[in-house]
Amino acid sequence: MRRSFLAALLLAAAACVDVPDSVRAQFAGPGATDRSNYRPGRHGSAPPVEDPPAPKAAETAVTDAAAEPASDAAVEPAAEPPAAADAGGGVS
Amino acid sequence: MKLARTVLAACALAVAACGTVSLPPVRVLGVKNDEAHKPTYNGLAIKSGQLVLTESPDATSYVFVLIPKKFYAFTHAAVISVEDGEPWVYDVTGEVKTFPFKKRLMDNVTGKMYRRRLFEYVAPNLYAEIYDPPAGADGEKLAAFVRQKYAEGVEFDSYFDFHDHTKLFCSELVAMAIESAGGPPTAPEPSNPNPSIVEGMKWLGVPPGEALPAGRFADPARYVGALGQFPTRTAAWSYFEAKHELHRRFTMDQRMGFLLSVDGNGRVDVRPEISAFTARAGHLFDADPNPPEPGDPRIEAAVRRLAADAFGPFPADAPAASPAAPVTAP
Repeated sequence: MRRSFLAALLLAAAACVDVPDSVRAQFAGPGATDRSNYRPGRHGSAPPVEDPPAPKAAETAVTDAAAEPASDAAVEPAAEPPAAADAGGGVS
Repeated sequence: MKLARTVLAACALAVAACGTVSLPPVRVLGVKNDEAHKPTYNGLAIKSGQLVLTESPDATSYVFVLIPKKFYAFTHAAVISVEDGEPWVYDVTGEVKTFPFKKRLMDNVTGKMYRRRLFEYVAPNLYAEIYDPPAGADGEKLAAFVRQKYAEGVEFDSYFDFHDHTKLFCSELVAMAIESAGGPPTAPEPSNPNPSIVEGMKWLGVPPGEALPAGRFADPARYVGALGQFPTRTAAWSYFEAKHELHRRFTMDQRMGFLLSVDGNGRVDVRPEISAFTARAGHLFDADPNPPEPGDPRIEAAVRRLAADAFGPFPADAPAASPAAPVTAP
C-alpha cells in the first residue's frame, strides 16, 4: 500500500506541467536593478513616515514593565482578505 | 490495481474534505428597488435574463485583471433564470484537474455548464453584482438560451477562443445569450500589449491580442443588487479600485513576476505584498461615518494614497498624494 502511494506521488511529480524558461522568467520577482512599480516600502518620492508623537514627561516617568513604546502600540494587525483561503470561486 | 485503489481513496478523501468546507455567509449588500424593480427574492428584484458578475477569491483573479488592455472588475459572468419562483444561475466554467497530467497547462482544465441556486452560486465568491440585461435584450429569451446550452451539455473552452462556439467560456456564453435575445453584440477587445502578458498568453495558448472580460457586462445604470462576503459595497469597490491601481501600474516595462509567482505545475500565486494591499484597500472606509458610494472619486483617491504608501508614488515623479489633492473621476 505504501509503495502504491509512493508510485502515485512519483507519477504526479513526473507529470508536471511544462513551464518553459521564457515563461518562468516572466514570473521572476523583481531584482535589485528592476524598476518595479510594486516594490514594497515608502521609497522614491513617497512622503516620509511621520515620527510618532513624543511621549509626555509624565508617561516616561512610569517604570512599570508593562509600559510599551507608543510606536508599537500604534502598529495595526495585518489586514486579512474577507474570503477564506479555501473558498473556490469559479473563474473563466 | 493497488495504485488505482490508492488514487481512488485519495479522491474519496478529497471529496470528503470538500464536504466539510464551510463558506463564509453570503449577505445582500445592496438592492435597487423602484417601480421597475419590486423585491421578489430576499429583497432583490430578480428576473430571468439578469446577469450575475462575480469576483473570485482565487489568485487567478490577479492574472485575469492584467489580460485586457483596459481595467475591468469581476472575473466571471453568468445568467439568471427564474424557475417556479426560484432564481437559478447558469454558467460555464472550468477548473484545473487535481493531478496535472498534461504538459500544456490548459489541457489540464476541464469544465461544463452548471445550474445552481443563486446563493449557492455566489457563496464561494468574494462578491457578486446583479445587472439587468442590456437594452433590447429580452430577459426570457436570454434565460431560454442558457437553458438550451445547458441541455445541450456545452463544454468549457479552456482556450478562450471567442470565434469558435463549439465550446464556450463564461463571457462568450453571456455575449451569445444577449445577442440571441435581441441585445447588442459584444466583440472582444484588445488584450494587454505588455510583453510579459503576451508571453503568458502564448504559453497558455489563448488567442493573442484579444480578450472578453466578464466586467464588460457591468453597467451602473443597470445595477440591480449586490451580494457577497464584503461588509459593504464601498468595501467591495475599494478592493476593485486596488486592482485597478495594480492594472494602472502595470506599464510596458513591468512583468507578471512583480505581482505573481508560479510553481512547477503552473499554479499561480499572488505575492504577499500585493494581496495585503488589496485587503487593506477593502478596509479603507471601515471607520468612515459617511462612506463613499461606488463610483465616488474619494475611493480612487484613497486607494492611490494607499498604493503610494505601500509601493511608492506612481508615476515615480508624481507629487505625494494628500487628502486635499485633486482627483479624476473614473
